[in-house]
Amino acid sequence: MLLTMSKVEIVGVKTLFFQVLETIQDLGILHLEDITKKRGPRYADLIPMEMDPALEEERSLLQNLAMRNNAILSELTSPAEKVSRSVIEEKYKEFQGKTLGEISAMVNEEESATKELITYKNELEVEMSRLSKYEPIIKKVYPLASKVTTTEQYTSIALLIEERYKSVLDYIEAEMERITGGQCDVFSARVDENTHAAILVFHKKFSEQVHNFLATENVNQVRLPTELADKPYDEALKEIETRYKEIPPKLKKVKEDLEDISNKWYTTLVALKDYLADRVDSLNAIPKFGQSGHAFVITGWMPSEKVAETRNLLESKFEGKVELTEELPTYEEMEEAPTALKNPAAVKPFEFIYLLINPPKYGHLDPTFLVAIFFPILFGFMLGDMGYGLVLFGAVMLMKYYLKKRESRSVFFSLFANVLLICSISTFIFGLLYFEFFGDLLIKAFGWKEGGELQVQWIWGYTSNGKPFGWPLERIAQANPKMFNLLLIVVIIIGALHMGSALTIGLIDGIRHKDRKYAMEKAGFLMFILGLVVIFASVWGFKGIKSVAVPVGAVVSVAGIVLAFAGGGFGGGLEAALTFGNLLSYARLYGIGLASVILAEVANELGAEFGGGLMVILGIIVAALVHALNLALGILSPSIQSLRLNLVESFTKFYKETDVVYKPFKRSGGE
Amino acid sequence: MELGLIAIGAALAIGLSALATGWSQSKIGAAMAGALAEKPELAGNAIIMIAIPETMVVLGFVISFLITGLKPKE
Repeated sequence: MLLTMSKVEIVGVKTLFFQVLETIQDLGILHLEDITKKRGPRYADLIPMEMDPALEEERSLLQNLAMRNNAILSELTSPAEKVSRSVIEEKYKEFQGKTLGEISAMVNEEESATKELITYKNELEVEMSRLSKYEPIIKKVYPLASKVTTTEQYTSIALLIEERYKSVLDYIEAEMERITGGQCDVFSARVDENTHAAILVFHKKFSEQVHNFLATENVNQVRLPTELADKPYDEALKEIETRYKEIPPKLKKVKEDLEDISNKWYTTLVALKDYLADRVDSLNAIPKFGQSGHAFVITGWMPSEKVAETRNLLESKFEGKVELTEELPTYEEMEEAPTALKNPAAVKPFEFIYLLINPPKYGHLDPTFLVAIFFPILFGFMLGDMGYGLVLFGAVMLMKYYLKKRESRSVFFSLFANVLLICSISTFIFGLLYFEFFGDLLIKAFGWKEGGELQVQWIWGYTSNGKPFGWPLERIAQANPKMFNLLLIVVIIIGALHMGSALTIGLIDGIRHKDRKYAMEKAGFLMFILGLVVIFASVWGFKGIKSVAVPVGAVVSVAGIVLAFAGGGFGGGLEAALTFGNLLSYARLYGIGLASVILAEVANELGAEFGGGLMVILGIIVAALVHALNLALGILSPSIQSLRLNLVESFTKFYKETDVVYKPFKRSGGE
Repeated sequence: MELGLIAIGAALAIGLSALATGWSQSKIGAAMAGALAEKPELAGNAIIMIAIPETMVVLGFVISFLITGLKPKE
């Protein structure tokens, strides 16, 4: 259901403005309205509040401090021991009593303590990453380079040549002899199975010609860091190796120092991050408020149940100098009322659909309870298997455990885990009705199926006077063409109930909002569906009344189309007729359930094919793998299809999304 | 002979509807992938849109299953 909201106006003397603002932010229940966008005589004398230069300066300082604080925080790792929220809260309160100067001094102190270390750490990491690129080259070329001795007059170049092109070395050697007039040496060796390394030593005066030659021949030269480019290869490589070995201990030390700082400062920095973000938020809100000569005005929406409590608090805290009044909203203002959901624990998980679409508009009925009823039914009808229900239940419990352990803050996962938990129960219940346990595993174990034919009629046995008890097995097993008529009737009944409930909500909404045409249209849809159900029921089920029921159903359906036409025009009439297609769309419940049970039976058949002895284990593994695949598909497909049936077949019949979701002005730490 | 026709009928029912679904989903999937690159918040709608053509193959499968349940004339 939707929380009842009240439109409120808070008026007080200007000198108390900032204290009131802080109190409202602490309470965290007022959804602020932008008073500058309000029109009408009530707001005519109000002047919008403006950020004066002093406030602008304060905001800019706060933003600067927040940026610097966040930069430090991003370089620190959170302490190994988890910091509790209450400790952060305590630190947060300490900041509320401090001046901006004190906070600024603290940030300066943090910065000077960490900046040097952070810069040094970054430099070391960059150097490490740069030198690591030379590591494979060093390994390949160094053994050869160490054998080469160069003098000041001579320089060297290293080459890496693939094994298949090694013949090019002879050509390079001949060309080097020619360019340098014999003042060169070429050393080469195979350094691994695919590579040859070569070092060319030559007089420095031929440097340009040699480089030009190598560039035109497109030979792969080993490039060294710029600062070492002039050094002979043996020396340069040795220096790289030495430097590379020196970095890790230095990096370790600097990380330890930062960790010490983190242990000391982390909680304070997190609290400061939240505090600064909240202060900036509160300053950003100022232009939304109004003022007269001596008073300020704040308007917004809050849950009606909180109005009296908040009024008393403001009156007592500010000794009657601040007043909260409840306003009667105009029709236009009601259109802007924010939506807040308040559902019982069992229904709440199904609010996950509002992560896909916006919540309902304020003043309309909240259909979450409808989703909470039908989503598990639709899901269970499709997956329906005792074994799968149990596995799903276990898997979801495990998922919830891990989400809790990892302190996941994902709203979607936490809500959807609970939805799946409820769905696992409905899967088990439907499995009980179908008598499915990993497909036909139980039926086979009891010896009720031979040569693909069911051997028993009643699964729950017989009563003491010999009457069969429970469900007739051949009529409940999904993978049975004889079941088609019955299951089609069942899915159409489910569809009619689902769509009927949605249309009833639409009808009630129409009546409540005195929208006669809208209500007529929904009533027309309802009558059309009712007529169809009467026809289907008499054709497939109650054949005795067929001669009367079919014409009656037809008349009701046609009357429904006429009523929808009268209410919603041509579109309404057409949509009523198309509802028939929506109703048939529920046949997917049967189709997906059928696919699931057939795949489960295939898993069992495949497992049984492996025969006896030790092969049984292999059979079980294969069957388990196919069942796992089926279960994965069985979770994905029914979830999406249930969602689709809710959003397409049901919600399109009545649902109105809101543009304004309740977002109270509160301390959020910038999140 | 009639058994063969039943089998062909069932194969056509599932095969053609699967092709149709695949074709539609490829079109919708590509369009939604483009839309998601611009507006990631449309992810929910994307899932629903892609699921819509599945109706064809699911119903095709049901029909196919019913056809295989038919008994050929002796």
